[in-house]
Parts: sequence; C-alpha cells; structure tokens
Amino acid sequence: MRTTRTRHVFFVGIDVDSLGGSQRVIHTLAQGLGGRGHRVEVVGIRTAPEPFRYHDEPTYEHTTLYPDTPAAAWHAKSLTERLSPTRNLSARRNKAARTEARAKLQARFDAVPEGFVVFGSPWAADWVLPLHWPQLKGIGQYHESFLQARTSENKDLILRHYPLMSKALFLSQGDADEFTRLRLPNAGVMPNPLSFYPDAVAPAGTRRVAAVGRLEGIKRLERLLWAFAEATRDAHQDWELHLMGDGPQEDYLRETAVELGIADRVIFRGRVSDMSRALREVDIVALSSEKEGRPMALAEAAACGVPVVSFDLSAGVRELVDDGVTGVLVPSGDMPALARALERLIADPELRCTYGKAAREHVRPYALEAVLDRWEDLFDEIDR
Amino acid sequence: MSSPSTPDVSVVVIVYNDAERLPRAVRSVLAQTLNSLEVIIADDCSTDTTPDVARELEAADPRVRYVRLEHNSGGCSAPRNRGIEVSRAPYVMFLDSDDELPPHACKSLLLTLEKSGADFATGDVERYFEATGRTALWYPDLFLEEEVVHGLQEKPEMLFDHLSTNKMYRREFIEEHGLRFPVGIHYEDQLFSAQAFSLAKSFVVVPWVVYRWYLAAANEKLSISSSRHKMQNVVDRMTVARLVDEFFVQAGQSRALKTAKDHKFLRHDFRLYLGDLPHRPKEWVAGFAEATVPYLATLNDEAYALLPPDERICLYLLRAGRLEETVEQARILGRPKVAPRYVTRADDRAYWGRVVPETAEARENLDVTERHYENQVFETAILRHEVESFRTEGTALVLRLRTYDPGLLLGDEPVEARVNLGTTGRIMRTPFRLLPDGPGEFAGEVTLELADVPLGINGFVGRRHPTVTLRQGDLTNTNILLGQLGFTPLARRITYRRIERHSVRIECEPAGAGRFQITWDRTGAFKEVKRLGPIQRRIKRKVKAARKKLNSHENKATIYRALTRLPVRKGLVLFESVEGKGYLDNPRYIHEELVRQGRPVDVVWSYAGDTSTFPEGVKLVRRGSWQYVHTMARAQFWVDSHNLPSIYAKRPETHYLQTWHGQTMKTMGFDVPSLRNAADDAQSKHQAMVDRWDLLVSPSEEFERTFVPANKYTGDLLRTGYPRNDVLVRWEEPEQLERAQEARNRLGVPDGARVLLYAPTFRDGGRNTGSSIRVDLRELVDNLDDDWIIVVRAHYYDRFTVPAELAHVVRNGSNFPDVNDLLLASDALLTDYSSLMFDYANLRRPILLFVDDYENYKHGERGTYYDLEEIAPGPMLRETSELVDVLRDLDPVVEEYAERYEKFHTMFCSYETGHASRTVVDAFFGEEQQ
Repeated sequence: MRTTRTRHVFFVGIDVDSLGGSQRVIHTLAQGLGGRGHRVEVVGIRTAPEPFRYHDEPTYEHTTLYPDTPAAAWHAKSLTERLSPTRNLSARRNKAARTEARAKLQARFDAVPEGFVVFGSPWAADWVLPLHWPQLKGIGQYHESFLQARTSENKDLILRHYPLMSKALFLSQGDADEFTRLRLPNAGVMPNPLSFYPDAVAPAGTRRVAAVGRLEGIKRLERLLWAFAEATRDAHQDWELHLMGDGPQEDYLRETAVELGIADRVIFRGRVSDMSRALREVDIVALSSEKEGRPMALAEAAACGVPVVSFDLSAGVRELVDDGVTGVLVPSGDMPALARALERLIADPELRCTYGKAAREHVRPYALEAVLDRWEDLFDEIDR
Repeated sequence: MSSPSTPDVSVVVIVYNDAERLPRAVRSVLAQTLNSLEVIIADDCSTDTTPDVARELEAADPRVRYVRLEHNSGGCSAPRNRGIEVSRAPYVMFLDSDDELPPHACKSLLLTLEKSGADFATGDVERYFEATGRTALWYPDLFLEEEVVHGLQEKPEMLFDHLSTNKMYRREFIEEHGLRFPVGIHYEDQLFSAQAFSLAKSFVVVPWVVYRWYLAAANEKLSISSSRHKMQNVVDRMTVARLVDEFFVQAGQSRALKTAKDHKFLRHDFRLYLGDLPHRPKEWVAGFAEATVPYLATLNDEAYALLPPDERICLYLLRAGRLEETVEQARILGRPKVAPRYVTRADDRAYWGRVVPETAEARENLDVTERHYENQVFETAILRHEVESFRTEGTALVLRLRTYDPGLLLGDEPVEARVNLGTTGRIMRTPFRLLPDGPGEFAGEVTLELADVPLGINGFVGRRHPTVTLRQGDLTNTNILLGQLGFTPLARRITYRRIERHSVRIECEPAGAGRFQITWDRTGAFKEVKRLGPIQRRIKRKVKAARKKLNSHENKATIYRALTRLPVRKGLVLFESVEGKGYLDNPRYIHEELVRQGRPVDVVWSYAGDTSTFPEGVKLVRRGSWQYVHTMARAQFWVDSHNLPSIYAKRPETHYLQTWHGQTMKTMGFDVPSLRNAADDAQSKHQAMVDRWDLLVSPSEEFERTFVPANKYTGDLLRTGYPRNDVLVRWEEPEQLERAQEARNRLGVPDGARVLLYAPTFRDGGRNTGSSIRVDLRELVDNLDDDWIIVVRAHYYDRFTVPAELAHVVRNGSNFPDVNDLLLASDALLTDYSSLMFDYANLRRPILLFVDDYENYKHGERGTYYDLEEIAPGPMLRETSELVDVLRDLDPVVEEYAERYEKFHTMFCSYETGHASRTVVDAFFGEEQQ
C-alpha cells in the first residue's frame, strides 16, 4: 500500500465536458485521484455545447468559468454593421465575460495554499497564465502527437508556455523526445489511463471485427470497409464488421458498404456506453485513420485481450501495439496490406489468442491504478 | 534516495568582489524547480561587500552556506575545490557569480543522471550579450539530442565543450578519481573538463540550456578570459593545453583523441589569438610567434588537416616565421568570400602569395588550387577591397581603394563600382571607377559625403561598415571593405539637418577582419533627444496598433463590398502570379500575348514585396493595399495562378480566369487531408474561393482527373495547355534559343559546358532551412568531369547560397524570377517531387529524380496522387554516387527511360501545343470583352 500526501490538484481544460477521449481522461484521472483522497477540482474554461456526465458520484469538484457558450468571433459584413452600437456592445460584453471568468478561477486558486495545476492543452495554459498563482506548480499536458503539434500553433505555444511549468507531459516517449530536441528542458511522459482493465478475459469467438470511434472523415473508415470486404471476399463471409460510434459520415459509410456488397455484414452500433463489455464481444479491433496520436481505442482493446490491426501512424500507435506480438501494424495508407493483415488474423484463432494475451500484458502499465501511481510519483518528483 | 537532511544537489557558487551580481546568481539557484539543494557560496577572500551580501543570503534561506578562503587565490580553482569539499549532496554543479542557472537546470540534469547512472551530464549554454541584449547558444551542434555517450571516443568532438559549469557531476565520480581544479593556472576548466570527459565511463549530453552565461559589454571591466592582449594569457592557454596533453599520455589515450584535442585547441583557443593578430603591434606578433610556435610543432598533423584552408595557411605562415603575411592572412579567417591579396600559378597549381613557394613543403602548405579563385563567375568572384589611404575634405571623406583580384576575373578594363553606406534608413550609394593597376590589382578613388548619409529621425548612434559593390551589366558582386591597419582614428563633427549635431569617428574596426568603420554619436544639445525615446516608442506603438486596426482584413472586406456597388471599369484587368511573387508564371505569358495583340485593356499587376521583375511601365498595386482593394472591386477581369484572397467575393460582372500554377504530385483541394477533415466553415470557405473561377486552364486530361474534381470545380475548362509552357514546346525557335543563351551567359556557363538544373521542392517543416537541397554537392562536384555546371534553384519557401568552395561549378539559379529561363538554359533537370518535371517534359530533355527521402514523402501527411516509381520519366536516385554515375554516362540512361518518358509526356502534356497563350487570350478576352 502506498502512502502519500494529500494533494490539491486542479485539472484545467478549455472544454472538459464534451464527450471525447481527452475529456474522458481528465474525468477518469480526477475520479481516481479523488478516490485516493486527493482534493481534485476539474475546471472547464468554456461550457460544452452538449455536456456529458462522466461520473454519477464524482469524488472531485467541478467548475465551469464562462456562464454560457460565448458568441463566435464576429466580423462585420457591411459598413452599417461595423458601426452598429449593439454589435460593438456585445463585443465589449464578451471581453467583460472573460475578465469575470478569469476572476472566478483566480478566486479558486487563491483558496488553495499549495498544489498542482494540470493543463489539458497549451491553449488552456495560454488562457490561465495571466493569472497569479505562485503557490501552485504547473503541469502542461499535450494529448496529440508531435507531428500534429508541428503542423499547428500548438508547437509554438508549447515551446513558449511549457518551460514555465514544472513538467511538460506527452503521451509517448517518441513525442517527448521530439520536444526535447527542440530544447524543451522539462519534457516527460505520462500515458493516459485506461478507464477499465477487466479482471479476466477470454477470446470472444464471435467472428466480429470492430472499429471504435466517431464516424468522421479523419477516421477514414471507408478504407477499413474496403479492407474488410477484401479480407472476407473469398472466405470467412460469416464475419461481421461492427462500427462503434456515431457521426456525420454514417450515411456515406452505409452507402459505401452497399457499394462494396457487405452492407449486411457491417453493423452500425451507434454510440456504445459500456465499451469494456462491447470490446469483450469482438475478436479483432482495426484502425484505419488518417492520423492518430495515441488512440485509446487500441489500448482498451488490448486491455480486453483483443488483438489489433492498424496503420502505423505514430510513435503513440507503435507504443500501444507491439507489431507481431500484440497485433499487426501496416504502413500508413497501405490498404492491401491492411486487408492481408485482417485476413491473416481472421483465419487464425490461435494467433488471435496469443496476440490477445500478450496485448493485455503489454498495456498493464496503463491500467488506471498504475497510472495514478505514476501521477503521485510525479507530484513527489516535482516536490523534490 | 538520500536521507531527508541531505540535499540532492550542491551548487558551488564562486565569487570574488562581485557583491552586486552575487544575489542574482544565488537567487537563480534558490528558484530552481529542484528544492532539495544547497548553495555553497565560495568566496575567494573578497575585499568588497561580498561577505555581507553573502551572509545576508545565508540568513535568508537555510539552504545557503557561505565559506570564505583565508587568502585570495586569484583564480576559480581554489574556491571551487573548497566548495567540493564542504558540499554534501551526491551531485555537484558549479556556477560563477556573474551567471545564472535556468530554472530547470538542476532538476533536469539530476533526473537524467539518476536514470542513466552516468558519471556526469552536460547541456547547452546560452550566452547573453549584455551590450545588445541578444542571446546565442554555445556550440549548439554538440547538443542536438539527449544521449548517453559511453566514453569520449564515441564522441570526441565533445572536447569543444570545455566549460566546467554547464555540467552536473556525480560526487562518487569526482571522489573516485580525486578530480580537483588545478590551482595557480588559468583556464582551469579546460583541464578539469578534459579529465572528466576522458575518465567518464559514460556521460549524458542533453540539448536544453542548463547555464546562462552573461557576457559583459566590451568596455566594462574585462574578465580573465578576455584579456587576450596580454602575452601571459597566451602562455596560460598553452600551459593548460600542455597539462591536458600530459594527462592524455598518462591516461593512455589514443592518437585519435589527441588529434581531437589538438583540433579543438587550434580551432577554438588558438583561433581567437590568430584573429586578433591584425590589431596587435608588430613586436607583439613577434613575441607571440616565439611563444607559440614550439608548442604548435607538437600538435598532430591530422589536426591541421581538419582546419579550413585559410586558417591552415595562416598557421603555416606563422610557423614559417612569415609574420607580415600571417597578419595579412589573419584578416580573412572565417571570411571565405574575401581573397588573399595574391595568388601565383605554376604547373596547373595555384599557390598563396606573390611568388611560387620554393620548397616542396611550402608548396604543399600554400596550395590553394582547390579554392578555384580563377573559376568563379562574376557574382561569386572572391575579391579583396582595402582602403589604402584616406583624407578628409570638410565633411567629405576621400578614400583611395585598392582591389585585389587573385583569380584575374575582372579583366583589364575599368570596373564600375560603388560604396554602400547607410545607417537606419536609405542606403547612400556612391559610384566610382576602379582602374587596372598591375595584374590582378585595381585602384580607385571615391568621395563619401558624410553629411549626406541619411540618418533616422533621431539621428544615429552606432557604427557602420561600408561595403563595395562591383557591377557588370545587371550582375553585381558585393564584398566588405577592409580598413587600413594601424592608423589613428579620426573624428569630425557634423551637423545634420541644421541642428542635429553628431561626432563621427573614422577608423579601422579594432577586431576581426578590421573593416573600415564609421561611428556616429549624438553631441551637444541634440544628445538629449534620446530621453524622448520611451515616449516616442509608446506613440509609435499606438500609431501602429491603430493603423493595424484600420487596415484589418475585416475593414478591407467591408470597403470592398461597398466599392463593388460602383460599376466595373471596362477593360481593367488585375493580374496576379503566385500571391504576387512577380512577373512570372502563366499570367505573365497571357499579359505578353495581350500586348502582342495590342488589345485595348488596362492592365494592373499585383505584387507582394519585390517589384524588380516587372517590365518598366507596368502599373503595379501592392497586394492587400487599399489600392488593391479598389482594383479588385472595379476590375472587369481577374487573371491569377494561385487563388486571390478569400475575402474578396467576386461580383457577377467580373470574369475570373484561373490558370493555376502547375500540376502536382501532392494532393490538392479537398484531397488534402487537412482540408478534407477540416471544419465545415473551412471547407465552405475553400469552396467559395473555387466557385469564383469562371474559366480554368487545363494542361492535360490527367489534371482533369485529379485537380478539377479535387476542387469540386464544375465551370468551363480551357484545354489549351499552359501559356507559360509555350516557350518550352517551341524551344527551338530563335527567340527561345537566344533567351537560353542569355541565361547561360548570366550564369557564367562556359561554352561547351552542360547545365544540370537542380530544382527540388520544399520539405514540410523545413521552410527556409536549406533542407530541400539533399544532394551532397561537394561529393557531386568532386566526382564530376569538368563539363557540367550545376545550377541550384531552391523552392521559394526554401533558401540556398553557393558554398564558397564550390562556386566554380555550382551556380545559384534562385534569383531568376522566371524559371523558364533556367529550363531553357539547361541540358537536364534534377528534381524530386517538384511540379517542374511536368513542365520540363515539354522540352523532352532528360529528367533525373533525387529522392533519398521518398518513403517519408510518400507517407507524409499530405498524400500523393501518384507513386513516383510508376510515373517516373527518369531514374530515381537515392545516393549522390548514383547521380554521379548517371551524369558521367547519360545517354544509355536516356535510352533506357525513353518509353517511360513518352508515357509521362502523354499523361501530363497532352494538351500542350505551343500556342496556349493565344488560345487563352482569344477565349477569355475575345468574347467577354465586348
């Protein structure tokens, strides 16, 4: 049993209440740390358009700084509009709302004698840095890959703000190394926790391949449909592809499935609430996205003993899937290779079983309790 | 982990009579992200208020301890050694009282050492120049990534990292080897660091900054390490180098490591003194030679061989006792564009100096054949301009210049020249002529009117170094102007604009090459004007902010919309190429055709920045200006090749011809993942931009298969081929042959030589880094026969400068505004993924592809339409040696790829007829102009 000091921890994000991967991580961590007796407060800067309730009985406090969704940035369409007093008034009101929101957070900070502020993104840090909180230690997180940071403003924001933090956290060693190369002095690694790690699992044998995630363009699910059709064209026609998630591309994907002649074997499951159970009912999880940082879906599949077939997209993916040990990685965009890999796993139940067992072991360090230990170690390290 | 009472790290801060800055140093340690540390203030028996200040610091924080040496040791060693002895932590760092530790230094190095178990860790140093407020990294190339190095032999260049302060040492390591700083000598760091590197089983290198080194402004009190004018200082450096040598012998280090140490000594330590020689009295130089030459003789020959040629020659002259020439040569160290005064030739070899060296040894050491002084083109000619004498006439400065041209490139005719001198604004250019004065020498006189030099609104305080530009036709060659060594500075008082009184000093820059230098200072009542600085800055900032607000995109869009209510101006055409890059690309050729046909149109070109490429008489508007907004709103026609800014919605009466700027390997439009996956508003914004096009030029069916659907363009197509490619299809016509010859002349291509145009595209994330130039040009030049000239044209997102040592074969084609000149002038194209290859195929000349990073490119985020191996019209090369082989025997390769080339041509050039400009003009302006 670990003994550790009770900590006061703020988790601050721009939007912490939408349904999404990074939001789930924040609430899982907050709940876990709260359960261990730490005083945790989750702070959302903006209100979510469709808030999601992650825990029925939260062990942490929860604040949102802006009272309502602020109006989108406004550009005048004509001269009269430009000069319109109501418009200018509302612009001024927006400014006042920000001042108020900052004051609200300042009051929360002032109430705490010592502790930590964990920023979900460099944007959150950018918003909070003008405040005064010398008694607290900052921790900056970045939830995407270095590549994603490099092609956006995030890289510069990170290099500007995160040296001021006690620690800058990235999801994989590869990403941390890239920032270290840019001479960031305090880069470290903190994996996201799995929200579940079932006690025991057995192969499902349901003949199902699953894809987990929103049905949106960046997931490139049409590529998976094609690969699945290829892999089951000549045999294995009793296999099904389950898409777990909803999103704007649903109609397009349904059409594509029809065109490929596999409409009867592609099951649109919609948003799945109990992912742990859903994953225990599939034999393979596949990922065909355009890009991914460190996709939780792969770690969750592994936790349930499900082998993975995926494009080799990032250091994060390579970290979660040990190619040839816990699953198969194929070159990004190489669809025939994806189809071949699927077919091989579909045809070989023993291989699935071996990979599945290895996968479970492989992600054991990402089980919630292990990750919470790492957070407590990090707090100790910062305190040294 | 150590017990709670023992700190994790001890930082030894040494101090001597520095009460003023000590608190800053100590505070930087106490503010570390590591709390568990102790500060040992080790005082070398200061005589100022240092003890009081130190005791105050000690009283204020229990982590601070003050120790004081009984006697002043005069160096850094004794206090540091004392610090080691009294400190308690398992890890030790050193800090000087005038420097600082950045906040993460202790924690980050500690974690690294705990993780690796290495003996010490070293990180980069940030130098802070107090005079200017600028910072620079110290030897950044040594610290590129976090790495554990198992023994110095794995990375001998770390000997350049000879400071002791940017490191954290494991105490056990220090104690095991009894490491201490040598007392009684200077540069104690160097011995200590060399020992540490040599003894460590492993050490860690980290790329982040772990030490902040303050460099005082030059006129302040000089610290020990910058007293290079004292002979003792030279002796001290050699003493420590000898001690390192002795230590290496004892430790049984390899000859390779000794070479690495010698090289570092020559390149770093000794180089500092060499560079100072032009500014030392004659006797000093003699004493210096006497003191150093015996030691230089003990250094490994291999270490000399690693030096840049100019430096090697300088050292040879010094060792040969040719001291005047040593000084002459020392002025060009680190300036490969500046020539020695004389070069002689014998038996196909070129030698430094006025006469051919007599001995074989001298010939070997003074051989400069490889510098190719005589094989340069005018623009890269390596020259040397010196002020021979000068006098003043009132406020005018009459300079007598001598120009040395050891490559004999300027011929024996007078040369047009000018001197450039500016302060903050416009540059004053004073023309004069250089007249031949003996072989390879020119002389000339120029009068600089100092009262005419444009000063800023507040006058000027600072120094400037005039440069000299020579001109031949529209080619120029600019170089520095060396001053006259050893004359007494001259001062003049000059009043500008009647009231602004300045003192102007004329002298030879007292360091480095010794450039001719002019220094301004405000005097009299006008001196006080600088007090207004802060107020003025504040006003300037406010004005700038107000102007920015007024000129915002939003305001422009609003005004634009208002202006579109006015009627269009019949016949007004707005031309723009690649976001205003200049007079080039398809729009240029369409404009030329309009002129040829004499159509009654009123043409206005948009430019962004440079206007030099436009022919005289063309009306110009700056892209984004209010004038531009007005022209956009009123024009009847828009002709463009990139996409006009999205804030301008097109009115129905305006006709928009989109020519686009090429076919591409890379995905375009909605096929680009970042756009396809973008939010709806970004997508509709792009769609709205495309929907403005009334007519799109198509070069091939392939284009209609990729680009057109990718942009969801449904308007009319002009299947004419690209107007800009007409000259390529019709390259055999006299006009084009002449244009090719002109370009070859401009590039300085000798008759009979072949031209390889190397035009790679840019790399994502590598803009303006030169990273797109992936061929090893040196290897290429070394292995090619003489008949190839390599013209490098960097993509406009990247940059390229010709390395001075390759300028005899390599030319820079980046300055040609229209790439067609280069295409026509070339005999073969070397590219990678550039769209240029699609145009080049119209010439039907060989295309080679250098694609060493093909895997990265192919799997990059952007995605490509083609697998290069499937469409490649020529060989795909991955190593420079393969390229050499192909160029040595090109014909069989051309033959081998003939069929594929033909297929490529059919695929991408199918609509090209050589008359696209005419057809496009007729189609677009023909009917619609009425």
